[in-house]
Amino acid sequence: MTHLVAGALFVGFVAQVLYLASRAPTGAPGARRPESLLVLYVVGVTLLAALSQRDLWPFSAWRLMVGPAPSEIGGAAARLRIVLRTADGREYPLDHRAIEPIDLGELRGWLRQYAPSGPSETLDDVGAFVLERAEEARLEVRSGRRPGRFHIPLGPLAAPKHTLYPSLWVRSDDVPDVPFREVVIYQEEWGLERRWRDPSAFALQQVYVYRGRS
Amino acid sequence: MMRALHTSRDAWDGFWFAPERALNLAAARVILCLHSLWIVLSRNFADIADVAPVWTFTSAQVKWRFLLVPGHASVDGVLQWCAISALVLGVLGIYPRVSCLVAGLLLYHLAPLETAFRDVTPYGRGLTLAPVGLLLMAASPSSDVLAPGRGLGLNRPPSGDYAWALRLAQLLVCQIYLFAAYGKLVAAGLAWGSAESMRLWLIWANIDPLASTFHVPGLWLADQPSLLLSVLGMGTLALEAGVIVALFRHRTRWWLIPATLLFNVALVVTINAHVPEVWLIFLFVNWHAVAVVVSRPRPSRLGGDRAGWPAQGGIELDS
Repeated sequence: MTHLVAGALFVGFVAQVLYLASRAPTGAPGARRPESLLVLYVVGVTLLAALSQRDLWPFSAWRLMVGPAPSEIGGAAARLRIVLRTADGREYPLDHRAIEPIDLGELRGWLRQYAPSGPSETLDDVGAFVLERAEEARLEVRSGRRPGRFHIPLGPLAAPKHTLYPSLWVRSDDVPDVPFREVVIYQEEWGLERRWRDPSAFALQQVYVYRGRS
Repeated sequence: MMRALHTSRDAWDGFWFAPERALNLAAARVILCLHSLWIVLSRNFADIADVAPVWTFTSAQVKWRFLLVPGHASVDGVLQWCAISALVLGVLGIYPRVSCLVAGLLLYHLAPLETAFRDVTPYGRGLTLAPVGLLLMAASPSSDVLAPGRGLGLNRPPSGDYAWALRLAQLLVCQIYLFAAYGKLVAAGLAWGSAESMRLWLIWANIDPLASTFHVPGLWLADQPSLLLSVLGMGTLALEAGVIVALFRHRTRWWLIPATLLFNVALVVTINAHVPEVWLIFLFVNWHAVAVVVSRPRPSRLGGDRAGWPAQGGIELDS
């Protein structure tokens, strides 16, 4: 329902813009009624988004860091860790650039929705995608190049993503010299205060593993 | 009753249609286009459509809402280049009504590719204000200056025609902060700004080495006395709720804009989150006044003339 309403509201906005764009401004105060209606419309729709706390994008409710801060990570507030494993059992956390153009935060969100319900053909397809891209990235890093397929035209001036993930695979010894064989997804559990005092105070529970297709 | 209606109508017109400089509206067009270009050239929206498995569970409503057809990256690639071209034309002021309209509509389709595969919208990813802002520029006379053959138009008299779209775009920027504060108060109340809440948010955003680039500033802050953390939390709520004052009290922009910029940078290094839309705060700068200062002819050593000084000369940084 929200999608329908939000879509219709944007169409209403576009219709008013098209009307205004097609007429020349007269400058007379009395002739500004269409502009006033458009202003009223945008103010009304954005207020609707805010008061209902529903995102009617591009009329957003801007729910940035709302809610009480979590004190525990796990359960409903789960955080997933995506790891690549070699045949000899070594594990390497996924570098966010390896799966470009998909954003690592969005992939983790997607997996949080679907991974706990157990392996499926679609999960395996995503696992195959991650394994293929990670292996490509591994070879690039081993040969001294930046991982990832997207060579950003703006270079270091590019807009940072929403979440500032660190670049993990920078030097050639940040990745193994043998191929990745598995994609493993762990669910993390830790208390914020506990882990702050002791960085090793966290637990990992394996929720999914993709072993490649034969 | 009629008098009240007239008063409110006058107040409405006095705010939304108060005479504004043509250069400020045109600068808003350039800023919105450049900001959108920055985001589009930093992402690869088109190829996301080709990662088939992630689209498996995407609802039909989302696909229809943004006209997404996964699996056609080549088409989206063409649309992406069309958007880039339209944005460049918008910056240059070439057919800006058409170019801003096309760019705004294309970005309404392209931006959701980043998140729509998991049925969420891309707010805070950089292009939330672009569709609305660019379409506002298409509906307004933003090409009267800063367009081929039009120059800066410093002598052009201010007009209400240049005001409403700029004010509305500025309001949209204020809403980022205002609505964020409102959401926090709705979801957690004033306790959101408490020392304990601040400490937890800072730890949450910095403690995981796999999910954060910056660690030291945030964790250092988390270790500060409770009084300082409370001031930080309540100050955040106050600043977010108060940015909208810049819309009504122009003189507050002198300190609110720098304070907001500082706040945005602080968020990046302490929370490890970047909301690219916040840089549109530059829409509040009085670019007309800046241009007047920059284009002011320097007096010669012989006390030469000041020919070329615009008729509306003088610095109006608070206009």
